[in-house]
Amino acid sequence: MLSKKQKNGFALVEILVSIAIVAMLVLTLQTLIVRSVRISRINKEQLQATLYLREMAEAARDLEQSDWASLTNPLCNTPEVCHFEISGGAWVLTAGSETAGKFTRSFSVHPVYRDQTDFPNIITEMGMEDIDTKKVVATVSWDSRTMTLETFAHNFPLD
Amino acid sequence: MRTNRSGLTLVEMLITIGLGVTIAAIVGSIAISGIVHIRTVKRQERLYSNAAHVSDTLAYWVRQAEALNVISPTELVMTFPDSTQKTFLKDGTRIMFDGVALTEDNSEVTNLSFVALPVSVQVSATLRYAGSDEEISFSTAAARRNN
Repeated sequence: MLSKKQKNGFALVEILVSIAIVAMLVLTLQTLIVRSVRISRINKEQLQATLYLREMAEAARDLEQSDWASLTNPLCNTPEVCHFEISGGAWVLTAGSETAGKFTRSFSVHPVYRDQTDFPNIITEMGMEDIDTKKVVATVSWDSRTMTLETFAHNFPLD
Repeated sequence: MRTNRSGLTLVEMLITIGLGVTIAAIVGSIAISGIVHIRTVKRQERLYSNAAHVSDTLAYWVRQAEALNVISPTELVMTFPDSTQKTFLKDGTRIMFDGVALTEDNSEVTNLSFVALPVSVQVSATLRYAGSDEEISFSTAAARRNN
């Protein structure tokens, strides 16, 4: 009798322990899977956001060569923000930010200072403003995330 | 003694089988949904890396180009300083670059559209994983560099 009771007790404990172990394994697996699904979504959003950002930087590169004057338009000088639109086969600066799906993007044009006008010189926080160089800061934000990309545009003399 | 023992064994067996089946069902359903999710993530990651590869390759070569010619919304011809040309185009559900497929067969290109600009090209594309709902749309641009 005694040994039988012990046997039954053991069986129940064994079942409970095995259920606990299986539940732990399943929960761990499920947590990992849910996390990987979330990371995959974040990957997608970051890839899209990066490409959106690059689009603005490349548009600035285009204007640097094709229409420098538009980059110096005070409309987009920091702290004002602009976005690019395509009009008449060219990039056009338009005031305000742009919303595409869940992404909001904009850029602003910052002045660039150098320590002296003669070469060699370096870009500094303060100093002489170089009117032939502009810093374009592009920003894209979605949900509660923000990414920025900076690029320098130069007005190369035509020769 | 003997009847007692066999009775208990039967109850034990029933409980064990009942619990076993219940646990197996729960674990099985969770495992199946897990496998479905893992496959979805795998498809998505293939798709996203294909999209990244397409946009990186495009940007890299556009920067080297001397002239960009958008022949149709799905075909871009780049001319390089040594006068050689490379074509970037949508062929069926694949993106071809210089005669080589940039996208894997499973990552079907459902949309590719180039817009010609003075010194750059804007591109928007949609890639969909074959036989699934997974897709990614992106829009980007690449400009020629001073040369």
